[in-house]
Amino acid sequence: MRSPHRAFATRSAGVARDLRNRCGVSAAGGQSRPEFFDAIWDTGATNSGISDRAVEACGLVPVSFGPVRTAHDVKEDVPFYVVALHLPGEVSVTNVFVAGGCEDDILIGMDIITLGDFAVTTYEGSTRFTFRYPSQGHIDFVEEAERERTRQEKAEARRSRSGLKRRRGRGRGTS
Amino acid sequence: MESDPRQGTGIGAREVEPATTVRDEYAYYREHQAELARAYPGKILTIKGHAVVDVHDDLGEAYVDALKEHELGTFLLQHVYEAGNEQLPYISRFSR
Repeated sequence: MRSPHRAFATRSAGVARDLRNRCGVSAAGGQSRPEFFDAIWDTGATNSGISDRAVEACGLVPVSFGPVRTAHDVKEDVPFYVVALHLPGEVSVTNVFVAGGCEDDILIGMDIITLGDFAVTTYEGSTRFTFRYPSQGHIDFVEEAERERTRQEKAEARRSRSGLKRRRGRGRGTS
Repeated sequence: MESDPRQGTGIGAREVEPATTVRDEYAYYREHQAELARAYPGKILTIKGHAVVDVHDDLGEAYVDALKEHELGTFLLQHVYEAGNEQLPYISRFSR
């Protein structure tokens, strides 16, 4: 049996070029109220991060420093904070180590995305991304296509068998 | 004799006033990074007062344990690696 989980889905009016929704951040420990910002979901980032503005709004104190590789170079001595992230659908993740100094107020990286199941679909001109936590299983379009093909083959075989029976029945009736 | 880092006499411990900011502790770490990397490869160190006061394998556990003993902002949690030999976090969208 699958474990209970929480989930959200964010729908765009059109085709989205990036994945954004409203998320909250607060100091780890759950005592302070979260501050909410626009968050970007970035599968190209190994770790999550927050902006200096978010650090200030939440009154965060760094617990570590270290280098971070960016698209252009390596930034040294980047502060790291421990926070709670408040995602839509009442999905909260505590004790997350995030880098400060991000361009976006909240950047959700693969450290969070891989905690659960994440999917992006664009159907009839509208992009939707959805996340559930904890994971409930894999989503695999190849397996899905194979299951559909098998289902269609079985349905075709059933139709062929029933057609054969009807033809045989008619044959008996006329003999 | 091997010193016990939990006693505050770890590698590089100095007879100085305890550091009061995380950045001070980070400066200590950078100064002693090579020797700490040899002594605690891949570990998470809790550094306070210019000394290693705890050692963990998991950053989350290190944080929770550190808060039981120390006030936030007075200790450093540091993943120890040799300079140039680390797997750096990658964040493309960075403003600094």
